[in-house]
Amino acid sequence: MGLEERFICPRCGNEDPKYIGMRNGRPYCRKCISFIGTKATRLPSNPKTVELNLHYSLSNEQKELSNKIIANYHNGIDTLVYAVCGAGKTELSYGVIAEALRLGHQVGFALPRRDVVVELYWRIKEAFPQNRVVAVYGEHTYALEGDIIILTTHQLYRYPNYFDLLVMDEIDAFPFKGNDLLIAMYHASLRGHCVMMSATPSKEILSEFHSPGHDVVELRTRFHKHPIPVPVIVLKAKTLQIPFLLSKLKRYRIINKPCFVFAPTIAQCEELYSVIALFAKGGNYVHSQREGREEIISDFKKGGYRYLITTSVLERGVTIKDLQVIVTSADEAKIYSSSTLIQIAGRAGRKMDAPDGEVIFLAEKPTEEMQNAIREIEFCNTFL
Amino acid sequence: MPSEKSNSATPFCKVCFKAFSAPSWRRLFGEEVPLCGDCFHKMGPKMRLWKEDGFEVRSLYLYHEEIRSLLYQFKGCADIELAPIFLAYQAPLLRLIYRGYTIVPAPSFASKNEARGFNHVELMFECLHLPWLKAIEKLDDIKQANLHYRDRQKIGEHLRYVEGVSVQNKKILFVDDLFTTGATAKACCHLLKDHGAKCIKILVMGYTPERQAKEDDREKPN
Repeated sequence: MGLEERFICPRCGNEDPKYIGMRNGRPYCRKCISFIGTKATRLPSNPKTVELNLHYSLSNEQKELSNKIIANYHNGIDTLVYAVCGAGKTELSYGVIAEALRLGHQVGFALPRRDVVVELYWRIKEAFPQNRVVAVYGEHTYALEGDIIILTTHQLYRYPNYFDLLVMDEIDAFPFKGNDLLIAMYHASLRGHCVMMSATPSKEILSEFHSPGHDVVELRTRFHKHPIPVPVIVLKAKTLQIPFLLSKLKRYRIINKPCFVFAPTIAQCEELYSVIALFAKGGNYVHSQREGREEIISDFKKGGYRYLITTSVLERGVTIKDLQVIVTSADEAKIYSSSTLIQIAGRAGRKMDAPDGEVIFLAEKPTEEMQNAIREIEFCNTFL
Repeated sequence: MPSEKSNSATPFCKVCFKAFSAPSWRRLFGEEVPLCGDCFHKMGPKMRLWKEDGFEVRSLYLYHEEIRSLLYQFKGCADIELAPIFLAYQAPLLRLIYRGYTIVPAPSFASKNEARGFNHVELMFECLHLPWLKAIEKLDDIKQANLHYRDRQKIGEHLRYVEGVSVQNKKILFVDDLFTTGATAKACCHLLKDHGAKCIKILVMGYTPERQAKEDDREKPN
């Protein structure tokens, strides 16, 4: 028993006796037990030829920040990129990735959600045509080694003390946010330095990156230099919300623009769709448990649906041209925190040729979180 | 300080790790329940009773995602602490139903158990407090998950009755974790019957309708 209490898991650092089991007289950690699988082998670190293939050029501001990140990487400083939604955070990291590859370093790009990993895989593969890019996520772990490894944070356990450069996006997103286990595995996998990216970093992360050895670079404007659409709060009684929603959907249909309708929970998402679908044709719904979600989303991108009712599963990492956004029951403060609302609002107006969009918070009463989100977006817009 | 184990005072669920207290009637018998009611209901308990080749079969759960992941964590990740959860709530009833029976566990290949460090079927059904008889052994390591229905029925060729063990005139309870096509269970029961067992019943943890099994198998990591 003494042994059991003194046992500290070498992988996740757990020492809570609750999570420690005994197998044949030897303690083992039950907290990280599901992270079992093949570990990646280390590739020889040869400098690689890199050819960056971009269809567009970075703005001056983006170039400046990109160079700053590269300089920080050379000086061994961890960087936090604090940039608004749609600022082109991913593109900012290409410079430092290319630099690390030229030096023969091992590069990883970790994200909390698998949908985003898949999307990013194709973007990075296109941008780095000469390098071997692999995507690693649940049930897709056939190839673990490559020049650039794009992975979900859950797969970090396969790479202990592995990455010279680890880029992490959406660090404030579920399930990485506040998950001690994943954070411990992130620390374990990092050999060199990291670049963190977020539009809505938490206070803890900000204070961590304001300490020595860290740096914060900020980008307050979108790459197309148009203001971020400021959300509008529409207050309606519960019974009047659906007629309002329908009239809006009809309007978007006339001007031929796609629309996201956010619902707070899976149950409410399905319920809302069952009502809305009676009056507005050509829509669909998605949530984390919905089968065939990827197909529905890609159909939506191609214009197959007029509107999509969704939970916060699509709150980030999606770029759709000319998207309009309506958040229903936006006064559910537990689900719609200001950072979530900022992310949701950031879905609108992300394209150069469609920089505008409508964002509506539909609620019964205004909440602090809604006002904070609007204030933050308006503040960012003052930098234009 | 190794003197006192702090967590024995506040029992917690082995699956969700939340503190909970067992039903009072279970505590009356001095039993520890390792699983909270919420997690138990999530596992989807559904007792079924039917006849297969003349043998009575009882299954406790319908094999679906929740059970699949727990069983994988138990078998695949060797999380031995999960062993008592599968029968935690049914055990008192099963003890009454199967009084006087002798358990014959489904055979598993010896080297597999060595690699895992334990025999999962034995641990799972340990809580029934019945005598054990390892009457059947498996000759080869064959993985049925990837086989078709017809190939599965040939499992009998890989099974052997252990000489020197007597099941003569005994009431036998054959136990296994999963029942898919029932090929293993039926082959074993026929073997036991040929060697003189008086009454044979089958108890399995999860029941998989064949089609559902195929879908699940495709998702298995290995």
